[in-house]
Amino acid sequence: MTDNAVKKPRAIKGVSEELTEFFTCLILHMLVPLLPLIIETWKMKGAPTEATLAITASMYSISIGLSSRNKAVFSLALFVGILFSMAFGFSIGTDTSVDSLPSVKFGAVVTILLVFGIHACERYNKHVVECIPFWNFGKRGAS
Amino acid sequence: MNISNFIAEITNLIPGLLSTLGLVIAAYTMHKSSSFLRYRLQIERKLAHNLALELKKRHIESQVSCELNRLEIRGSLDSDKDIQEIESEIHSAIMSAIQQLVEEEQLLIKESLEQPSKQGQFHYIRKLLNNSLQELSHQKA
Repeated sequence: MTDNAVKKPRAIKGVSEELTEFFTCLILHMLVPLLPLIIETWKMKGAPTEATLAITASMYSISIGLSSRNKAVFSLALFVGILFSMAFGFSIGTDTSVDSLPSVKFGAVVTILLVFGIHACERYNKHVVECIPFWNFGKRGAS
Repeated sequence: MNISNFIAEITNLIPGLLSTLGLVIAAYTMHKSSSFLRYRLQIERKLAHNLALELKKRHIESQVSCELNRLEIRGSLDSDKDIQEIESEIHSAIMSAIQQLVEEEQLLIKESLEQPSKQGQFHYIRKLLNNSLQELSHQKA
């Protein structure tokens, strides 16, 4: 190593391109669909209703499952989506004082978090481990 | 108990049961997804180890370095022939490292290496070299 190389100031390492792709995907693909739920929680100044949580869990599972590359994750997420859409249908016609509704709330919140986790694992694999770009604007051979 | 009351109670329980079932399936899917991620990371570590050995065998580890996401060649290069030589050595080192994996693992790695995006292919090769060079530097330390 030469003297010039020793004197050269060390550059600050930023986030790698692979991690940037991953975080872009997390924000644009996985957090934006949850915006209506976040805004409802904010505007209602409290927890959203069971029906909102159930329909969000259903739509989120279906939409995230459809973008999965894994057939097992795709079909299981679709099934979870169908179950929550049925739960939504039953919960809007149910007496609000019954005991089963808190479990709908809990189930929907945990399922949304799990679906987020499932897809985050898959996207980490895709963008960070396999280095497949999320978006490749204006470049040939985009995926 | 009146039958209509019984049906109403069952109907009230259905949303909770469906949600619980959905939650259980989502938890199972999460387990599957995370185990696949762990499996893939395990293959990457194995490949990095194999590649590190191949680079060492070919004495390339002293010629290349990965700084700030850029692959750099140490020392002076006399001609394009030298660059081509290093490129072909790296290529054959990667191929030999992949050959040491089992067939299923080879297919996964080849999928990443032959992905449609050229940018992605380049990033993947650079990451493989970076991981291997890091492993060699840890061995030295």
